[in-house]
Amino acid sequence: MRRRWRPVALAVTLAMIGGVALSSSALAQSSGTSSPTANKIVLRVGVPGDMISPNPLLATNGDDYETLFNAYDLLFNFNPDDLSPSPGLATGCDPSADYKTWTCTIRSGVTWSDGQPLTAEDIAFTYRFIETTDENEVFTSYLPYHPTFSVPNATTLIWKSPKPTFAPTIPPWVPILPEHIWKQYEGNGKAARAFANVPAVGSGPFVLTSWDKGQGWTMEANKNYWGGAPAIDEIQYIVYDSQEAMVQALKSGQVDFADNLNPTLFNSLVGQPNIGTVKGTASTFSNLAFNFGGQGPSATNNPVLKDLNIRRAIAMGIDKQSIVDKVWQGDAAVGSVITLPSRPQWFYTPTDVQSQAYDPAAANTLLDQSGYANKDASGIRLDKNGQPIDLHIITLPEETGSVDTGKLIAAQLQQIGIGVKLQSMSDKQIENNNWYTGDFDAYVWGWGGDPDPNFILSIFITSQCLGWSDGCYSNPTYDKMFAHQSTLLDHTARVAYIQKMQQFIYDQIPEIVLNYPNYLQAYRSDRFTGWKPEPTNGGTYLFGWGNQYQGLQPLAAAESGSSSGIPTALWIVIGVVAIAVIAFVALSRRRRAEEEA
Amino acid sequence: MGRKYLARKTLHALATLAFVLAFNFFLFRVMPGDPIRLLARGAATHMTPQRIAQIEHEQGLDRPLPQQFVVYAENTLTGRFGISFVTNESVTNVVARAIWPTVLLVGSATLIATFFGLWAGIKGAWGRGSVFDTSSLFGSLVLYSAPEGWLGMILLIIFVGTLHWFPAGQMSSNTGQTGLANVLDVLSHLFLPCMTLVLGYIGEYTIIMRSSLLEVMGEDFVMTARAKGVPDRLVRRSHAVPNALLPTLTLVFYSFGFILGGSVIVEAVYSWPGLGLLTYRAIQDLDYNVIQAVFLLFSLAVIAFNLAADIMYGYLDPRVREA
Repeated sequence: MRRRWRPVALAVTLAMIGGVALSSSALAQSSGTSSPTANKIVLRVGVPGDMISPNPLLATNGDDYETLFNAYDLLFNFNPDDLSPSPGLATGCDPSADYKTWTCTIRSGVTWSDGQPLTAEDIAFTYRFIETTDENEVFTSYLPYHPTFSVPNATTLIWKSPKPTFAPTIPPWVPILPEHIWKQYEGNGKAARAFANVPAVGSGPFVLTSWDKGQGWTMEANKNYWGGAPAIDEIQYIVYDSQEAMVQALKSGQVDFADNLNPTLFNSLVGQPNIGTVKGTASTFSNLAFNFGGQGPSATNNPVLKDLNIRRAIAMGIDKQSIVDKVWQGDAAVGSVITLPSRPQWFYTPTDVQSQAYDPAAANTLLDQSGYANKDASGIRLDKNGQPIDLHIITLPEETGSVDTGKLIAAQLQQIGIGVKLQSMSDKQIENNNWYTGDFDAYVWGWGGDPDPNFILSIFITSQCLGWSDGCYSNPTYDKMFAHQSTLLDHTARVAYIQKMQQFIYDQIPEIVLNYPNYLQAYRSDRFTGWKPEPTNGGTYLFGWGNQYQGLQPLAAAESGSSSGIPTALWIVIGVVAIAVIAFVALSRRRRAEEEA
Repeated sequence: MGRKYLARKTLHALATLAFVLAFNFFLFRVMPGDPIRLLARGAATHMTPQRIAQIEHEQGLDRPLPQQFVVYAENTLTGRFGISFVTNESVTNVVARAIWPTVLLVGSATLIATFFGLWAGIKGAWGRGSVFDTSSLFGSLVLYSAPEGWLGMILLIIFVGTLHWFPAGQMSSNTGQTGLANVLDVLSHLFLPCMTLVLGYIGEYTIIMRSSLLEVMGEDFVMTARAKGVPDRLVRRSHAVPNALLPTLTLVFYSFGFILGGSVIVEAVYSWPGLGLLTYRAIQDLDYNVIQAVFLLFSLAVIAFNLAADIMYGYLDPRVREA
């Protein structure tokens, strides 16, 4: 009985193997030709997180801003060389003698992606809309003193400010919105924020066409873009929650670009075939910010920190290069001033860097000479009241590098006889338990910011205590300097004066700027060419300051599409194995039935 | 089955649910992080204290905790979970979108792992000490103790980075294909996360099935069956395995309860858009409303399947009903 089944089973198995092999190769062909992206030139960008929202009123993270940069125009673009304003929708803006009225010339012949004309009216509408509807105040600071806007003709915008201002040339970082779409939400912030804005009508080089939440979003080229049609047809942003997966996707050619990598994975990509790496200059800095007290009677700040010599000794006692090497694995620069290397227009090199260079011997001498020569049994210096100088420094586990930096600093300050008690906590805990009450001596945190330094300069003024100030630093001279810079309407004069302010902060050391961590990216060098770093000198290839995609040209590999996937031979093997399993199960069932019979 | 048994089990389930509801609320109120800052993100740099107070009021965060709890209980019982702090979308929508991918991934992985796990467990126990048994036991122990996130990374490095066979993440390629091409596309995206989960689950099933069957094999009725000349295969199939299946079945039912919970780690490694990834992101973003909703959903699923297992068990095993 049993023997009879064998030839039949074998025949069936062989027939099925043949069938699977044929059908799988047929499938492979059909899926290759039916893909609508086969003849489109698509740039696939891996990102470590999703957009929060493509609605400008909810824009928060870098992905949102990148999408807005592609979908909309600003009044001015950013000059990639120094991030200064360059012609955008406005070809120029001229101030009146008192700097209260600015007259901007708006480009003509620009259309929205739905074909409607874009005029100066749309710009005036957008700015009024921000004034009435942007309740989260994402953009309002770019339009100071509640200006009014008028439009004498389609190519002229008049910006009237009650006080002299240079706001139009900062330039205002406000995406220009189509009036015919957004008018219905004017004054109704809640409804405006609820507007999905997908697909989005814009005037930028790409149009947001779809958003698959949590997975990615797609932008198609705006072939009518006033600055010239992009050479690529589509950008797909693909979200990878795990950076490891994003890196593997880049290696296998599933994405052409990987954004915002951590140093370990970034270094694993350096020198890999067909992969280029980008160390973009910093857009944030990490700092050791001191507490000067003033929060109230509960403040526990160590008064010794008010002595500039102590702060200078601490600065000299910290080896910033060792933090770069150990915490950032080399992917950061040594810090100095409160502006950023990626803002070359404002970034400034202090005149006396040597005065704060790492030198524990000099720091010890300075402390000895400043009245802190006495030490306790464990080698910690005593302050003028005979108390050991033990600093309570807070680190934040959520902030990349903060905890490790704190540990290094604690060990280094030990060398100059300053004790450190480290405490690690979340930003919420700091805010509730320490920052409001002033219960800390210093923390290791950081700042980012606008291209314009107005904001970062403002955090050191006295009135920012319990506002944006780190530790209630207060210096009347600096307060006067800050007030003065807001009145400087001549750009060159303001740049020079702001350099003076940066030097002042550097010398007074309300905080120590530790490092400028690099912005790390990687890309397939075999798929596209024409990358445009922003800023030009050492900037990132994407996620910079706009207009980085138009120059991209596909190489041969990008035109032929992706080659990854399971080879046909493997499909056949899988098919054979599957059939063998099925045949085995069928045979043993048959055998069992016979036994039971 | 006794009505009393059923009533008691249902009551237990409801009591657990009530506890979970209360616990859920207070757990998330003691977690670190300020939702207003999170809601505002970068925008907070420009936000006035008035606007912050307004948002707190809108979200009900300015009220005393007991009052917040009453509002929470009322909303939860009527199925209103509020809006996500992060995306401003209704939490119900956010959660609903994530259910199907998780059911597909964890459901298929559980089925495959159950099938092969039970098979290996039975075969191993029956041929105790054989090469198959020792190697499958060794493999099971290794896989059972391997962290899923690590397994996922290893598969990524082999199948994506080196062999270039499978996609590194997501559920589809976003190329707009339809029909069979789309099914194949989803399957190719499903393969690696599903395989990771199967490898992670299979050891547990194998080990439990094996030890349960070994226990039964020593029982008198198995010896009796053999003594009366029943073929070995039949002893296994009709006498030993059905009795050994009881504890394994409970395990399978319990793990079905965890299907909705998915695998936070595997979904995060492969960016699989299910409930696990949703949970991972919501915890990172401290999106209270979403976390509350998914935790409630997970608890509900576990409680429901436990209840189902209890009822099922009572049905299959008469001894339990009387207990």
